Amino acid sequence: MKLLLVGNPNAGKSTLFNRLTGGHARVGNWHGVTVGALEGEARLAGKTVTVVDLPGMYTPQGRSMEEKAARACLDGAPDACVLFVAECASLARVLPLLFALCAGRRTALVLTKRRAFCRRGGRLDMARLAARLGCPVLDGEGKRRALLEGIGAALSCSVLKARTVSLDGVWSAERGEGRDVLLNAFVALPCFLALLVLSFALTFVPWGPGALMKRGIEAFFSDVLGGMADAIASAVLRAFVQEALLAGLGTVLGFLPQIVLLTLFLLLLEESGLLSRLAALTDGCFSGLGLNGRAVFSLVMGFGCTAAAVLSTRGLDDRRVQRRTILCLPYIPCSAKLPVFLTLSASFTDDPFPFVLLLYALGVGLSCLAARLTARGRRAPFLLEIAPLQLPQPFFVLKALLFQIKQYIIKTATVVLAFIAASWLLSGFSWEFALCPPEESILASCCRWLGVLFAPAGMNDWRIAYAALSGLIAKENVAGALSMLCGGFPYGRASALAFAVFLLTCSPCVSAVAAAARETGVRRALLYAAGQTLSALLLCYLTYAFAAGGAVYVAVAALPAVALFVMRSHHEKIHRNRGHAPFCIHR
Amino acid sequence: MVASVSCEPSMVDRLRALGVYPCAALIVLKISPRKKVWFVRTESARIALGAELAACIGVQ
Repeated sequence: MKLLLVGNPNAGKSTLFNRLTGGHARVGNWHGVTVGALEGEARLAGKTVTVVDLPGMYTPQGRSMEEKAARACLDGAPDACVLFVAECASLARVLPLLFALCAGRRTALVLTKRRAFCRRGGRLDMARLAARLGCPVLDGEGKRRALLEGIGAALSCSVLKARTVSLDGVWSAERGEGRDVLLNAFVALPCFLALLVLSFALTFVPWGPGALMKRGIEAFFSDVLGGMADAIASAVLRAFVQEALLAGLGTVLGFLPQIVLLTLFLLLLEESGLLSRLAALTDGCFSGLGLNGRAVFSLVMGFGCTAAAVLSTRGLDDRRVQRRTILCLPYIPCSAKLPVFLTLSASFTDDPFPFVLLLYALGVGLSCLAARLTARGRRAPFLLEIAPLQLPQPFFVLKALLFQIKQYIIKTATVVLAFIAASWLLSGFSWEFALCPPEESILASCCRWLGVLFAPAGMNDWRIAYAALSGLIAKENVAGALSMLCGGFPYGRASALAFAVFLLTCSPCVSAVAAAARETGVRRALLYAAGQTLSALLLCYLTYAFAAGGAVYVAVAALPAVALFVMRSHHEKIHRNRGHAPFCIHR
Repeated sequence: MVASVSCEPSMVDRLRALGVYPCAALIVLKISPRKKVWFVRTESARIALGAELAACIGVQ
């Protein structure tokens, strides 16, 4: 049996889904978090039921891609029961949607955010409401056991009949919220920037909690576990533990505290309601880039994970804006790139804060440039519901953080470990399966030709190229490979910056490319990936030339590109004035 | 009060679902400094409208 969760965006469907199934569906205080159907199992009325969390819908027909997907899911399960999830405050407006979607189905109404509604002066009589609607009405914030029993009973209730319902005497609206200072751009944007700088400082400055915890983990791996590894009798096993596990894997795990701190910032941003205000206030700027304010949701998610951010673009109404946003997302530094940036900065400075800040700013700048270069045509009108401001709930934030930590450790213990183990084997043994130095190993003989890739950036070294390409599987592999093969990053500041720029601008990992393929098609996704990797190599060479003192040469080399951009803009302006379609690099 | 909403049908439906329809009460909370975004409050929601969409809503 299937149980579908439907309702407006940000009504609390995913939160209910997690309560019912014990799952970890992503939740956030903004409209459009859930972009695809998510299934889980729950035990209700003695039966195992498949619970399906659907994206939010405003209208029965749906306008955005995610709404249409939700509608298709509903239509594809005519016998499924429905839990219609609604906020108490918006009950009056969702009743038409309730009857439009659920008439003729076994339905229960689950009301959420009741405490906040009553605190703000709203009144609600659930028993009388149930009698008027002709379906069970449940409290989404009630005790879990009572909720499960109520939903279990609703599975065998009679079908909902369409009717006209008056809420007089049953429901009365809350008082309006007070003045919202965060609708003022001169307040909201500085608040956001201040939070951003604070989170970066706490994460990256040498005396901050992020760096301190990182040093603690590194000390544990090198002193405690390293000491234990010295006692291993077998030379091969000792080498594997010290070089692969402790050096490679330990390096990746050491960055966990800093990734957690950045994730905490993103969670606070999502839960507080500031994100939807930011999206609205930046719509004007984004319109100049051919995007809209809703793209802020995806771009901010890109700081966490590019693959998840690509999937979140389904919430955009306009297909062209979606493709453009997907093109920009790889330039946003995801959390997996952070270990690499910190490894590179450690090669020439004790304070990574300026270096990392520069890279993040560069990534955002390149993302905007990519959007501007591909901006075409009129975009869909901008409309966004503003989420209420709220203090992030500690329980939800902690649960989400613990889940992120668990996912990171699992990924490190599976994908990264497998890669490091394979790399260690191939770099430690010759074709005759005898122990040998890395330069005489199987890996060196297969990958020596790769050294030319980064030779123009002062790194004619197959190990660097191998580490860079390993990032196509998972970006965390790069830091692990550098530690294992080179003991860190063995080149100077200019090469470190060039390598960082390459990693910042090259194709994202296979998960993100696969997500892009699902949204835009395999051919387009592969084209994006190839184009980004080639342009990343070029940018790497230019960066090295610039950082090594060749600013004049870089300026001369960049002149044709700048001239092309200026001429194109002028050309487009003429065509726009005459009403012609302009020359398009990207559609 | 909203007098008319003149835009594409799917957007009219979306606006209606958010409380913007003829004879509905509408309060303008704020307009962004460059007048690109309008923050309005309806009976049941706070929404942000782009300038082009705001121009489609007639008020009296």
